[in-house]
Amino acid sequence: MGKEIQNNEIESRYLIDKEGYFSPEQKERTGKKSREMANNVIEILRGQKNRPKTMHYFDELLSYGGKRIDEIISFRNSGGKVVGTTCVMVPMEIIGALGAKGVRICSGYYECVHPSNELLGDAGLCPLVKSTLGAKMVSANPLMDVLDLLVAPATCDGKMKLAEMMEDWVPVVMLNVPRVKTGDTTSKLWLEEIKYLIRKLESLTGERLRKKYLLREIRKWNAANRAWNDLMGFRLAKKPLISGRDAMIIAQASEIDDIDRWTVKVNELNQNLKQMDDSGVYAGEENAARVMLAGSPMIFPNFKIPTVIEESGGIIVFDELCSANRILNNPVIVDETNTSEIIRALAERYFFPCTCPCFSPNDERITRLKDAIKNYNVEGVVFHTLRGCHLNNLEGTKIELVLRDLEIPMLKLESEYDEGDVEQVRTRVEAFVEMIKARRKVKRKKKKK
Amino acid sequence: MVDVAKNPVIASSKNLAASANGFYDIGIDVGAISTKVLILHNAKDIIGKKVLPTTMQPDKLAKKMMDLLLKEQGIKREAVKHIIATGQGRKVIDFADMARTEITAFAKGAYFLFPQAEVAVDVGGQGIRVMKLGEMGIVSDFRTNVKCSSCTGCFIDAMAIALDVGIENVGELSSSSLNPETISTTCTIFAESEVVSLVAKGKKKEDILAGLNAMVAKKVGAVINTTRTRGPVFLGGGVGLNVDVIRKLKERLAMDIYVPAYPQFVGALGAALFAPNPLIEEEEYEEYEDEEEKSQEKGSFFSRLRSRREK
Repeated sequence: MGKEIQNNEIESRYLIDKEGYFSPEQKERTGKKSREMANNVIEILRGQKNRPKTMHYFDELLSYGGKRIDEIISFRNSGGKVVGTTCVMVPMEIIGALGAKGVRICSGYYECVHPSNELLGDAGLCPLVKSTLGAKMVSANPLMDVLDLLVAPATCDGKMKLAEMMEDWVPVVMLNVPRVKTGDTTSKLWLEEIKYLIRKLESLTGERLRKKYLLREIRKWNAANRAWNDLMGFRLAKKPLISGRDAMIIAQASEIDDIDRWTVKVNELNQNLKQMDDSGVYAGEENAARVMLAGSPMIFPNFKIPTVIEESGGIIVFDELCSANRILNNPVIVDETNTSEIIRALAERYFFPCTCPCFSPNDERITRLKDAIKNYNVEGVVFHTLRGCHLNNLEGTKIELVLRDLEIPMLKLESEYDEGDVEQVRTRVEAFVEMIKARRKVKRKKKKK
Repeated sequence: MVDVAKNPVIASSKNLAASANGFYDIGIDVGAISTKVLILHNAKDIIGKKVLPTTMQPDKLAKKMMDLLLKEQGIKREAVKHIIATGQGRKVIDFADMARTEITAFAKGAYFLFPQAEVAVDVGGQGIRVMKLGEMGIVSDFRTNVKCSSCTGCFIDAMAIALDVGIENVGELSSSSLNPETISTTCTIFAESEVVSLVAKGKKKEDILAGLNAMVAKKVGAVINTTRTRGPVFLGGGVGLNVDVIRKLKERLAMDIYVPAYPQFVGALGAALFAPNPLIEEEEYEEYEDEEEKSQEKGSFFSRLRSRREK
């Protein structure tokens, strides 16, 4: 393998003249505004109707500069290695089995976009990529300052170049993702990439990947998957018991939390939700429109669109975002005892069910979308694309045509991290919800006839 | 040239106001540029309407307009059953009984005036909204302009000011053009400087206006085409008053375009039509009903899914 991490001799390619460019005041301001944004979003989340108290744990976990950061810092100070990821396609089990802690570093903070804009220019780039880079540039995200390694699958163009730029600060392992899913070498290539990742992680931690630990990690994550699926059951109900935003933060918390503790907390929440169900208390408005969220990821605290949907008389019952449901919807099925076969099973779990639009053909996405619409009684789909997310934009058209055949309306929204277009979005979402409710009438009248 | 569907619902107001029986509903459309208030009698006859530019306090303005209208028609405030607000400022109208988005309200008004329409197009002060009408006039899909309000009412307004032409004369003046200019930019600010430079070159006002109207027609036509419609098209909103834009749009789309007699009031009319009509017994079907009554099912995701599949 020709790829080697060059810890000492990193060439500054993007940021060579940006060293010391940002003043301490600017750094402080970015941090302060990011904290404000996170606090505001948490306040909005806490204002939701019938929200179980157990949710506070997840709020605090994701809050800006929360306790979890201290835990990770002390883990690192005691000799542990922290491995950042930029994508859901990185097998967290392998990182855990080698004694390292995996954390996803995708950023949803608006303020962090500005430093990137100064560097890259406002060239219609993805705000997620810009925010993640900006957070590192001005050290606005404490999580990013404790990374020993960054694992970045080269999925979309933005994520790939983000990883390249991140190399200026932290060693990066970029995984070559085969983008044609049906290709002859696809499966083999991805497995080789995972094996390469294992070698890199082994040299980072100084340990060898052992079957015992790998199986332990798989068990942990499968338990997390089960807990998540139980939670999804509460969204399936006629009157959903949990809002889409809450489900989103729970899923995102799994990517930075200790997964054992997370599972315990989610199971506890499930108990609470069951009690709510028994006592007839529900989330969301009466007769809320059942909406599915699809498209580009929405990372906390960029909850603009889900907030608008759930404030306008809708409730998100399902999402197919890589920042929420797709994190935890596929358990690994191990039916072999051989370590290399377990690794193969892991590699395949993280690759084939992934419905990222960077793949072609991506029929899996349509199949899953149709299944979810049927199972969750989805009445309308909000397809959200971040600015510059060409892949989702392109696939959105195909999905719209599929949905038209199913007679499911779709609202396509393009937005950025800033709050400037929130009222425009609100009008369109409100009209969409009104439309869904009016369609119910027609449906019922037809049925009566 | 332009099919101006004669508005069938304008009744002679005096007679209706005098008749004591019946009820009144008021629709208030607080748009980006102008506020429209309309009184509807027995959910079918428009007996009074008013339009004024939107101010910083739209609630006070709307109240003033409403009171004035009621006074003109000799209707008591108590006779008004419902007040429904729509438009961008709908949430500011605190005395309204309910609020509907401009998209839904416009579609309702359009379906009432012209039920044959496949799409309803609202070209207002700051928005181009295209609604595809399905069964019973329910919106089945809609498109709007995103982020930029170029080629809407305020765009034509700005150009009329730059050319020192009254906004009400833009359509007619532009129709008289024999040699239309071409305007290349859609940005309002850039277009304005382009207009100024054309004036400096000694070009005629009507030719410049014809170029601007052609651009508006192009943009509106592009939004209409995204719905893949074959017409007929119903067009309302303030820009519906601009006969030249309508003519150009009709040529462009090769579809029938119907413009009501009072295009500005379609939204307010639709809003007023949202009032519950006591003459027609209508059941409320707002509640979400699950076809298979899965509400009885409890338990985990998998058990629910399994029980569904077994059915």
